[in-house]
Amino acid sequence: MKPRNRQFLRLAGLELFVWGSLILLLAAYNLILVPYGMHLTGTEKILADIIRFSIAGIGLVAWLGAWYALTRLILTKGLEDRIQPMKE
Amino acid sequence: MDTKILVQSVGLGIAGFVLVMLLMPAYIKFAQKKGWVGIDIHKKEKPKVAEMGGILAIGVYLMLLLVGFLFVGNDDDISTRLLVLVLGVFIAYVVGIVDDFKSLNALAKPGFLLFASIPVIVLETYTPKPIFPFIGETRMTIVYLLLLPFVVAVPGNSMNMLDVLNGSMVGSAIIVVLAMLISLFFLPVSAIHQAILLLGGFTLLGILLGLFYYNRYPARIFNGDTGSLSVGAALGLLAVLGRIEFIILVALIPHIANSFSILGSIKGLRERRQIKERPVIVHENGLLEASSSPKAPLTLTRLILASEPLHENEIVKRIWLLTAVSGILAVFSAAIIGWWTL
Repeated sequence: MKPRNRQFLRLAGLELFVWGSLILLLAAYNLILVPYGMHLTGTEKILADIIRFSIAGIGLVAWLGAWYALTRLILTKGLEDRIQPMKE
Repeated sequence: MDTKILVQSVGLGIAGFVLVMLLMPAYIKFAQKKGWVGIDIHKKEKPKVAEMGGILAIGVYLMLLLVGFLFVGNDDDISTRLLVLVLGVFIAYVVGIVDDFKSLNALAKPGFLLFASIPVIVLETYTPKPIFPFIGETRMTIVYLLLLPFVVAVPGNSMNMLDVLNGSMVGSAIIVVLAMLISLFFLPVSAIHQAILLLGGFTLLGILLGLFYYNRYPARIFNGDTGSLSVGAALGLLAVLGRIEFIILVALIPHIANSFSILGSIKGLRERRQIKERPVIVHENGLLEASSSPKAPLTLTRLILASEPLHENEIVKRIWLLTAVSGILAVFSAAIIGWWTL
């Protein structure tokens, strides 16, 4: 396969990752986190909300971090493809 | 689907295409006479190309949306949404014109674009219940309102950041609009939401096709920030007004990924002149090569070029292909939503 096509497939794969993981994260948030603490009232409810939003925040940052790390990896892999034939 | 609205929307789209096609040559002459030209840095001849084609194209878009009021008649729900679309795009249009003439700083441009969502909030034309695949309708009363300004500003700035090569922004925007219109066949949206998406979508498609003819490789006109910010803002506004936030978000993955990785690599918002390292090197033979400098911004163009140098038109075709992949994912998402809510 041509290096340019391999690089294109990596980028299309990144799109699939973003799409699939976004759906999974939204599903997890709606099915697990949203019902969490719904029956509570007063201070317990506030505490549950803080926990809920903290987990959601950490999840969001972790997802963005994974996305960025994958993008960096795709750049590195692409540059390696370009350097490799020169070495040979 | 309301056939009457569909026919009227297609009519507005055709009118948009014809008007942009007919008026653009005169605008190009006018812009050149006024000295509104920019250098096409990705070509070895470094030609001077007329700037700010968006002034004409988006002007035609706004004018045709006003004509749309004649079609919707007494339907308050649709006409209010149409008014919000006109006002929101107009705000982005003004921000774009100011930026094209005065060059706003890195914070001001996205900051001012946040104002494009004010008409949506003031006229309460949003539904804080976005629809997602496998989940259906969700309730996000407060969070939605907080995120609303970004739903318009993010697509605007993302379109702007991908408007770097001949036809890259316009071609990819056409694919996003097509994905949006195809998604309408699957989505369980109401007649009101469908009407605004058809009117706004087909008209946008028409003017984009006209603009594409002149902006494609080798470009005879640049869109300017007026064009890219307004097109992005229009997509963001249509997402909110038509309740298709997730669909537009998915269709715009290449654009958002491009701006996200640029911001991540240069660590925040920076003005173009503040960025010392160029992401792409232009060779004498016209080939473009990715910079291997760790300090260069991580753009989509650089990612595409990482494996080997390519010509400008080949890179643009790859950007369109990547947008087509995200467009297919958007239509697929719409099909899942439609099937899930049956």
